[in-house]
Amino acid sequence: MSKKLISVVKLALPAGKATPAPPVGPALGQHGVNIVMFCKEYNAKTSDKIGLIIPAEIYIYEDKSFNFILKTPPVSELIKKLLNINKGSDKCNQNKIGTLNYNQLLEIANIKMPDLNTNNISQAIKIVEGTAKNMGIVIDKSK
Amino acid sequence: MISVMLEFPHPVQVQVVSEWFMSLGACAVEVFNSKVETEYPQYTKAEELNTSLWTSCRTFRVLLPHDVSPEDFLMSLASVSKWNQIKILNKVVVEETDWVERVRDNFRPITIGRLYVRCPWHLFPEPSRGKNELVDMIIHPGMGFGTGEHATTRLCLRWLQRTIQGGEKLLDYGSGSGILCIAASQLGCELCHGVEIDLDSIRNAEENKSLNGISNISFFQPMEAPSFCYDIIIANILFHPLVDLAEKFSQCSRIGTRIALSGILYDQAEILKETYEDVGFRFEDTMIENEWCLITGTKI
Repeated sequence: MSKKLISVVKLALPAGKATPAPPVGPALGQHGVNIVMFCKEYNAKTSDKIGLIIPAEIYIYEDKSFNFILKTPPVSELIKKLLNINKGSDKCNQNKIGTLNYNQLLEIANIKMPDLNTNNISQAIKIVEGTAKNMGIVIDKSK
Repeated sequence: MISVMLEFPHPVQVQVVSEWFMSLGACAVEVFNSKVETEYPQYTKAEELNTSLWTSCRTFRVLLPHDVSPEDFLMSLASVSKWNQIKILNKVVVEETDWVERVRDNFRPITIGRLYVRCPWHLFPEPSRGKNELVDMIIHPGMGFGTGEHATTRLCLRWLQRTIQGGEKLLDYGSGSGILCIAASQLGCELCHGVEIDLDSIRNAEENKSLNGISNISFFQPMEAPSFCYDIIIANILFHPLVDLAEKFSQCSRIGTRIALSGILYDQAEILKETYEDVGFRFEDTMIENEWCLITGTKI
């Protein structure tokens, strides 16, 4: 197993329901990874999280073998879940569709921390704030 | 779907940036960083190495849904983060295609000596007269290293064909996809033990074992491996783990046990030989393919 890494790919996929269709096909297929095998492994490992988007980070080696690790759901997914909404606002500057208070901000930032390769919570908060803003969600830090 | 290649003015933190990309609607983010050698981290488990691999880079490829334009995507990013000087190097519309078929086309059966290594979807060729009979091996390419594509795998497979007489007990340390155990069993070994730290690889190896209808192979994690005395030891791993394993291999061998070590670069061979000579092995041959090599010897 003299593995030389040739690529790292991160994919956002529905837990337990990955298929060889895009984005899996184009993202992994171009490197020759056996996408059927990847989907099988991914779905097996995420079968207890159906309904969530669970990103996978895939390491691809020069002999086309691969391994992957699972990541925490994207911030936008976590916000949607917390505020119980289906999608972000079409016009994020005009149509505000919800509010996140400071504790909720912190809650999501804490979930994301392990993925950000940092101990700096403000980095994580910034991402949550930015994503929320882009979804048309108001941040209210006073509460 | 649109594939967009993006370049930052300076290296950025991969985890943070990919998180931004994903949060703003990217379905896939790929990191480009071909200069970094990653031999050492691969020795550890995937869970432990993720933070140390390719932590910063400048170039990313992002897959966006059809309804998101790359320009809007970068505008959203600039409006909510400090990233505002990102260049679009190129953008390509990803055509719809049968990706499973495309991937299958990527794999071709490989003939190494008498061994015919194929994927489950390939057919075994009709035997033609006058030729040496081929040995059929099915390997489902997956999470275990060893699809037959890599130089070190081929070096090991050639050595096994020269070395196995029939009836031997073999240890394959770092068994990956199980390809070497399967070859050894097909070539006449009486019993094969594969040891592998990665559970995903063990599952892949078990699947390959049953695809080939073989029963005299067992796969173990290192802690569960039985103590045993082998006639042949083969290890296609990497330099550092091989150095650590010298003592162990010495303990599970007898005088006359044949050993083959691979997964090492040519300039690492001499140091590795010295390490193993200290525990009773003598080396005879070195085989080289590309920058990789295989060293072979005997316990004396």
